[in-house]
Amino acid sequence: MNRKLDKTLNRWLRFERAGDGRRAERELHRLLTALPPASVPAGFADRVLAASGVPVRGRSRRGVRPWIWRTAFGCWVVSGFLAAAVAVGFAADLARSGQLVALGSKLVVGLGRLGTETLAAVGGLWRAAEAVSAALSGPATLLLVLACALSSLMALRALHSVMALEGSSRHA
Amino acid sequence: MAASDQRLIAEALRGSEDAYRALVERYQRPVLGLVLRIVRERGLAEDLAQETFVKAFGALATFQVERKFSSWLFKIAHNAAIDALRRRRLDTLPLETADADRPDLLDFLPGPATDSPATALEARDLGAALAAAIAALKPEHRSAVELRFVQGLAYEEIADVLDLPLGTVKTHLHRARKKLMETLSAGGWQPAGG
Repeated sequence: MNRKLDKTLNRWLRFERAGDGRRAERELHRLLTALPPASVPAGFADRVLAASGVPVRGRSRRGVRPWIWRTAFGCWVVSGFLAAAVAVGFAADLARSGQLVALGSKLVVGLGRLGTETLAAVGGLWRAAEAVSAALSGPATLLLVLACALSSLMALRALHSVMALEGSSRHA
Repeated sequence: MAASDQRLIAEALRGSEDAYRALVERYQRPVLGLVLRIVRERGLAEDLAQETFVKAFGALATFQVERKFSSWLFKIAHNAAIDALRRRRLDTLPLETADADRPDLLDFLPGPATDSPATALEARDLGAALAAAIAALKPEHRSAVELRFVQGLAYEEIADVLDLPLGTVKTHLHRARKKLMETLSAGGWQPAGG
């Protein structure tokens, strides 16, 4: 590379002294482009994008606090389990009382039986659900289910607000 | 095959972060090189280069796609650098104060991949001499030299970037070349055999 630089330098100086502007420019261009360009600091592109308000890769939904996700998921699981337990209890009561016979109770029993068999197939969950529903039957259970559903909704709203806040702070 | 500037701009305007990033990575080195050549101060040059891209992206929606994006970007960079010079009132450095140990000039010196330590030193000396000679030019001449002889822009593009008549650009380049030749010759860099 240095012999090449030396030759290029010689040619440029000769052409300049001879007044050959076109060739002198060509050699000067070769000389200057043979040298390394300015080094760019690490992370320059990221800083530019951040300053421009463009979201930087890697700071996406992972930036939302994990406890919010866990709380929302936990509320969904608990309220879903309780709702299923109460529904099973009501369905069993209604099936036994026979009040739905005229209104297509066979369908309800059939669905209940299907539900029973399905739940039994996962290892006795049906018996656990009956036991829970027996213990929880009553207005208190309904209130508990409503409370869990309400807390799920509140968790969802909080999650939505945090995500919106994260989005607006990235664009600031 | 690399996407064209126009395609990247269109994707960026649709919100593609990758397109913005590609534009930055494509022009970060030339923009930084131009600004560094003008202001001759590393930290300031990095700030101005970042400012250039921020301004460009802020005005991207108004960019006329029939224009050359690089010229438009260089124009923003050049104006930012000249404004910074005016604010700081930096004048042309006397040649005797510029040497190879100045941090800003080190960016333009050859790397270690050369034939031998002796030739590496010689290349480094030549690079330092060239960088010092360019640094000693007037700001408008430095801009023209960087755009023409490093970035390879045509005269018309340089005239657009510098907002000067074509004849003035040619005059600047002619005078800059002469001055560089005189400076290097005075520093002992003579053509072999002559």
